[in-house]
Amino acid sequence: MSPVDVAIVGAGPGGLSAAEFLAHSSLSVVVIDEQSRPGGQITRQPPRQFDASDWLEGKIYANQKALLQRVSNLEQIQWRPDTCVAGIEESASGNQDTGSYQLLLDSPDGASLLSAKAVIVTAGCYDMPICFPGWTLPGCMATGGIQAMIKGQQVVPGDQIVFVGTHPLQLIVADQIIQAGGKVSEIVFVQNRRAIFGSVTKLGMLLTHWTKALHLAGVLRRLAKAGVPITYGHTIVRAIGDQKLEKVELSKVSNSGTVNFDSTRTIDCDCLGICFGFLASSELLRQVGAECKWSPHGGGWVTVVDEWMRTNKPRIYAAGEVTGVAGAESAILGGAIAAHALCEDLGEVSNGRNSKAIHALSKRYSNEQRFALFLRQTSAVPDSLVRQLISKDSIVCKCQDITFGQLHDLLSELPYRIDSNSLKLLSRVGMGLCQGRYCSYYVNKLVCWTNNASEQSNCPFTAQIPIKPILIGSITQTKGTKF
Amino acid sequence: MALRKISNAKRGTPIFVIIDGRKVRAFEGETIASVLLVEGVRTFNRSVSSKPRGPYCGIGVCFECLVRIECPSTEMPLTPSRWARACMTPIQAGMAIKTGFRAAEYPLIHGPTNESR
Repeated sequence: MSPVDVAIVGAGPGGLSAAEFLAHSSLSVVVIDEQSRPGGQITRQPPRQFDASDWLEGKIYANQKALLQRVSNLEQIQWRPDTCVAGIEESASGNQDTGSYQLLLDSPDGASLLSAKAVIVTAGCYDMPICFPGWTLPGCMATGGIQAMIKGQQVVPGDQIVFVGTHPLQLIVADQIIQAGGKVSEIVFVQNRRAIFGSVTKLGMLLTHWTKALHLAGVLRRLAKAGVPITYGHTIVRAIGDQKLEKVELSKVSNSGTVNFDSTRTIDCDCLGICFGFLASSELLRQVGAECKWSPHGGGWVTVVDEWMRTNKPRIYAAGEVTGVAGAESAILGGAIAAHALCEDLGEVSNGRNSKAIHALSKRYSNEQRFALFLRQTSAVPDSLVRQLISKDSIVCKCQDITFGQLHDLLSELPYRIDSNSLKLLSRVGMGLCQGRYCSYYVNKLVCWTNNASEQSNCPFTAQIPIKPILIGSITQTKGTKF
Repeated sequence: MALRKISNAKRGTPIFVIIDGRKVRAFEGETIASVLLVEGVRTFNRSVSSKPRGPYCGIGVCFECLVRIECPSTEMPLTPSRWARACMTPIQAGMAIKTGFRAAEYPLIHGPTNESR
């Protein structure tokens, strides 16, 4: 592919927003995404071959749908769907200020290199896994995964569906199942009712974000009408089944956060939606050398950016969930801010209203960030809960089938301090196909519990090229070898 | 059991795929994961220690949904099969899907494999 001025990694709300602004400049822009169609997760589209007339109804999605529609029709934007950015390197030639970046792309036609002057990474996030015994049984799914199946494939993945977690997304997805003609057995929140709804009555937050509050009210109304029970102050403690999920065991959680393993209820369940928050997909940014920091409730290892979405790498910007999980509206604003900053940094004359426009964007961005912080506080997973749910036989590294007990024993035998990377070398944790995405949260906690140190003191697994598995055949330029 | 939402969703052209030797009718545009779930298949592959595994994240991040696929192709007759993420791979007419394998049982074949689209 010929060199471009700007490569945008991720076609969700953040990337689309950046693309929309840049389309009005003279810069050449390509938007790259692993999925077949743009939209990210929140506006995940069904395949072209489908005709889903009621896809994503609801006023709350109107802004995001409109953005997707507008950008999809922009002729100035180039698209590379079904393509993974496996890594970014600085070009060998040229100095830091005027150089460019080489992106390694993996697509069905094989791997290729793309040269770009600047890169905006809006790679989003993924559901945070919580390890309790049995979490890897077929049928246990990330709530985001259930949502992806409904939005993207019009499939409801079970008929005895139970949701458990701390994040209100589970209400949204349960509502989507009801609207799709499916059934939800129960929705379980770890927090007590007051912890969630007590804080919702903060009038200021309610008024400023009234569309969100209104949508939630509608969701709760529909769930009540469908007779879906919502339970508070309980947690999943075990997923039970022989070859697949058959039942889940729930226990009461006291107001102080203590799990009462004696107060247990078992219910039939063929599909469990696990909903404890999200982790930032920051691997690509970390791989290219962008600074990151640990955010315990905002997505784990998130990318550090200034108020203009610049990372510490020249002409590399990050916006949306990779900078801290904050939702689609925040990503839209962040993407636009990043695009403005990029135009300024490349000496591109923007439409002249640059500083005024950015000021307005920044104000709205701060507003959305405030809501995000409030949501984080409401749905935070306490460290004590993580500790109580894990047991010796809980699998921490699902790719290598390494249990918490095995890691714990290994760590207790070591006479010296350790970090994530050395634990990986000793135990194989993080060496599987998910490349540590599903164990890093636990590994970080485990290392810090062992060292009796703060979670910020550790480091993530070193992100290397390729940041997702790539077939050798793809690199040798042979057709049709995308993983 | 998983179900296809039937109200207000018109699917693509019906096509046939083969799941573990069984001919199954599905629709263009569906992913392997959708078809397997709707057909009641839960074990997509087996882990290193042979535990059953199925789709988790639905967006191509977790690699739990791997299945073996074989696509008819005249271009690459020597290496007809490969691993694929079921949630990220759309079905094609005549695609043969095999479930329940451990990664170690089926060595990853390097070199040319079939087109996924």
